[in-house]
Amino acid sequence: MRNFTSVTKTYYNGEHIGYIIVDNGKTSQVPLDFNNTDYQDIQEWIAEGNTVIDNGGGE
Amino acid sequence: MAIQKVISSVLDNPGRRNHIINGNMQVAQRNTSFTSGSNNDDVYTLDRFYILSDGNDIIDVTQSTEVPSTALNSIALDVETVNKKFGIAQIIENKNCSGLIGNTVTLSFEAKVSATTKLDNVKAAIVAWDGTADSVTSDIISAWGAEDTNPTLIANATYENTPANLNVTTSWAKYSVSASVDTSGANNIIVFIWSDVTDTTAGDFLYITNIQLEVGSTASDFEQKSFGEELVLCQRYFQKSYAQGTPVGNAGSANRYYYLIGGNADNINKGGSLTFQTQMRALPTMTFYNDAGASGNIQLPASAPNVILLSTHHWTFYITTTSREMYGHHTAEAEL
Repeated sequence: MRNFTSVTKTYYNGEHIGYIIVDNGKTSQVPLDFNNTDYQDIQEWIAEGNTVIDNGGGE
Repeated sequence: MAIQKVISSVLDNPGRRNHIINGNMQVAQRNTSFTSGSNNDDVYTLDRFYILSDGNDIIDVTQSTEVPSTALNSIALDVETVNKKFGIAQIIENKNCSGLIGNTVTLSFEAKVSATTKLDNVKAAIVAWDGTADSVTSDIISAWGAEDTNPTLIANATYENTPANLNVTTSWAKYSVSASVDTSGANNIIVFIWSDVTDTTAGDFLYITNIQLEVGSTASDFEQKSFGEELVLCQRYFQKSYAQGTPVGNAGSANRYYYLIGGNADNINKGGSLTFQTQMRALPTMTFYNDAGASGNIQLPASAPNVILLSTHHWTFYITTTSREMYGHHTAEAEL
């Protein structure tokens, strides 16, 4: 399983549209797509009990 | 008679045989060298190929010019941490497995080692994945096992051939293995080439190139594609704003990618939509870089674009900024 440093939800107009991940020192933006392997890894990471940072969708 | 000869030749050796992308290791968009920090287990290196190793920093990986007469590049696997098994693999997208699954296929490649004193057992496998299509667990190794014991694969991954020592020597030679891809429910195929010894010497090299996977029980000549064609095939899975030949995360201001020019100075949302260089396999993960090569923000403004991805052929972004220009670099990754 991937060992993300952090996973943060991203929003646009109040709608959850993706995640920002920090992994092995690299910061990236991951879309909500079941075919994206980073997205798949995030779901596995969450299922293992890890916590996603959610700062809400307030603009 | 002459026409019959031409037709026979074409039918025996049709084009588009090779289901491997970048089999001759020409495309190296991420970098041409992967050392400590970028050579971990299960990490992509030269385009479409990733490391499988018993731990991290087991091998340095480079795009090499140590080649047979039939290639310009090979992938060089240089032992860094001794006494560990290591190799490379490529996952074939479900859409590109058409014709392979349910048939006999042959994996071929050219290889050599720098010395056979320790690197005396190189193997190759054709692996079927019967989990969800294109949701392959790329680290297919459950346990590496003892020397000359084929690694145990994870659930949903099955050896279709019985891997055995190919007796790779210090001279370039072509090797091949064949198998019937008959695992029920197979959706993807993974090719895997590795060193199966557990007593290695630092600085020993395994070189591999001209990897081909084709339908049939015999290995034909490696199918040469143009560099441009191979690059486009790779960009379905990974693409970048940097010039080809410039590594991702390269420090410097040359060849910055301009996302916006000529905005006003108001502190408002600014952005737009850009088209990917080729349609990507899935909505990609986007990574942005500044001039120092650090990820997260572009150079100007020193912010991360807010990316809205709704399509595999374009992306939309904005930043709330007073800046009249936006520039930096980015990558888009949709690997398997």
